[in-house]
Amino acid sequence: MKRSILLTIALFGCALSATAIEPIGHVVYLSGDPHAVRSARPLWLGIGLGMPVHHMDFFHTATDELIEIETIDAAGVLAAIRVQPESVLYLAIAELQPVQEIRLLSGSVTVAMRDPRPDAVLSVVTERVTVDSAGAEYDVTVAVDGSVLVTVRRGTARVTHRDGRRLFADAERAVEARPDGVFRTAPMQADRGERFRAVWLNQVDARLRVDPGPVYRRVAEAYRAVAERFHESYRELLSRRDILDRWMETDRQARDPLASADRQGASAERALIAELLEPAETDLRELEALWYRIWYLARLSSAGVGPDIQVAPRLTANEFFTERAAEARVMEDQMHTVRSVIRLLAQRAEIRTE
Amino acid sequence: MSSSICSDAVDFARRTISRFYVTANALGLPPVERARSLLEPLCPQVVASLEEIPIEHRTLRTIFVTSFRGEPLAPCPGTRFHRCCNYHTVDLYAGCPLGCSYCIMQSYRERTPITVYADPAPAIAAIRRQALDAPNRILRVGTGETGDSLLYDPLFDITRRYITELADLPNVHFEAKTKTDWVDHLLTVEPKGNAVIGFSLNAEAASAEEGQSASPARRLAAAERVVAAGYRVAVHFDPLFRLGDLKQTEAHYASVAARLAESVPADRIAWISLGTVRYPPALRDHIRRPYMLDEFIAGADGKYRYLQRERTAIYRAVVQILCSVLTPVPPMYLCMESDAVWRRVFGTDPQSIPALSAIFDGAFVRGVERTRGGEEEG
Repeated sequence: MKRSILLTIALFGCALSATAIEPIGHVVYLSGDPHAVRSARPLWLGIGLGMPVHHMDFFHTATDELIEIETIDAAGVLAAIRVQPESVLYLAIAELQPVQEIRLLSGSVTVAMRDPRPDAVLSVVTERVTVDSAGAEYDVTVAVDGSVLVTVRRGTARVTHRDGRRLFADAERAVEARPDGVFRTAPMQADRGERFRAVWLNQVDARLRVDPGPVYRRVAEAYRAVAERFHESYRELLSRRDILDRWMETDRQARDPLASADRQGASAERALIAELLEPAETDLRELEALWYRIWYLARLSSAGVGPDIQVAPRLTANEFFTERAAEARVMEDQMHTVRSVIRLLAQRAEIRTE
Repeated sequence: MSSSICSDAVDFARRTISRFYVTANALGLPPVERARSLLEPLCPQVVASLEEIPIEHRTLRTIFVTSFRGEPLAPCPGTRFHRCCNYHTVDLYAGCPLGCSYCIMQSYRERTPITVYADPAPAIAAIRRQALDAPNRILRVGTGETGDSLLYDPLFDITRRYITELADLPNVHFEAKTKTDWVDHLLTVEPKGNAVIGFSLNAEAASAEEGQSASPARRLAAAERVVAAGYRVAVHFDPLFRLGDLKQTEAHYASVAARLAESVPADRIAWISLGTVRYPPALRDHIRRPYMLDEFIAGADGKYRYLQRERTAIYRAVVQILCSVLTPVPPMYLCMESDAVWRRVFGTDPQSIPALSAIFDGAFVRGVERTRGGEEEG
């Protein structure tokens, strides 16, 4: 009897682990050669039609690149996700997670919910708002100044501001959240979402070109506040590199992360990493929301839009962006590493002590 | 002077213009007097501004002449996140009745008359100022952004002033861009300086999309005439269409490229621009042509274009064709294209191509572009 219980537990463990490392969807439409990162490493062979997509996969599309992903049952929610051109996001989607999220860092994503279950929710999380919907088709756009626009093609999407305010967007009402605290609906002609979004983006661009100072200063200040904290929490996390290296090795070899003979020890490791990961993940959220916009602003500055504006005492915008360019490689590696650890921890989420 | 006036152009104007409005401040200007005499018996009505023209008259059958107001010289607005070619524009003729099916102006100049800015002095002064401020930088400036530069020029003869008054500036390349062959009034203009007459060219198979424009053969004949008169020409293969599969598309464009090579010596071609067909969302409902059934995606600027690989394939094919028929190969560039397409077609970005560095020096991507820190080194 005891043996059969153990066998059942072992089989159940295998099933869970298989679920945790299964793809959550596939690429169904593609234009260009977008950049993708998985497990802190770029996908060197590039993205192809039909390519499986995994929890915490990171995508970066250029001007005329586009990826459409359809999730499958293993994702826990059925949806079509279109990563629009000039966008950066990653998919925090795994069946066993309590919430399924697309973390939109810059640009635009279109989500079409396909799940017949009314309780299946996929959220798009941005720095300023979280958008979720059970059955809508909607676009979320993060502009270069951090403003967010939600336009809906079908159904209704709930938009929750980070301060708790809540609005609903539908086919005739867009929702806008701006860095100055403005959070409002705007009337929109049905089926003209694309045009509305293009005009809105042009307005943001124009505002920024006329007066880039406040945006540069806000971004620089926020960056300096979070970057130091992130470095610290990252160092703390990497202090247990012995465990992380082993986890990463298991992942690269596509071995079962739950196949450890010492379940007690594995659980303790998991608890230890979870504790170290928590502050790093919090800091990552803040940092990544700024980081990908900093590049757009840097480009504007180098094109002559306010390069000499003081963003801090004795620091011009141009100097600030040059400093960021110098550390870009390291910062991105560190952020990808933290995302990878989030994924590795999720793979081990099913380990329980008996 | 009357011998150099293209009678086709005047006939076209008489046939297509049914109302003639002029603002009081433009009334005495020589271009207005000239147009008035050529359009007789059509009589200009004086209005204070565009708003005074009845709404039902604000169509492409109405011509509205005003002296220049507003920004005299502006960088080409380009398009967000795409590579800009550092071109500057001045408004001379705004609006065009040629009726090209893909014309982007349909989306924003639907209910406005053809507007002629009859006093070029402020624009010329602005160009001169900018050119003299940066004498080592090439300033390419054209009048063909909001309308055809030469469609009504035989009537008003304003381009002549731009050419002659900018001729002494070695860093200014003034371009009059057209889909007509109405160039004869400019042949005798002296001095010409660096003036360039630009011709938009397309495959014969795409003629149906170009309304009342002159046929490619007539445009090439006009190019031959202007080259003989001492001008350089620019050629704009824009928009390039996918005409069947890639091989068929290649064949269509090879034919027009061969005729270009026969008509114009390659060393008289100042530059060649290439752009595949594109349209903003606002135009999608206006265009009801078969090419709209092709596969398009919206880019970061909101404009629809062929998929990146399709565009790349078309560009590579056309570039290869042009390189094979034109010696020396003139500077070639892509209009409003992404860095990725530039790299796939030319292997690098425009600043790194010696023949283009003068054109693209100081140009930037409208909007911004991403960096892929570490991607190259991995």
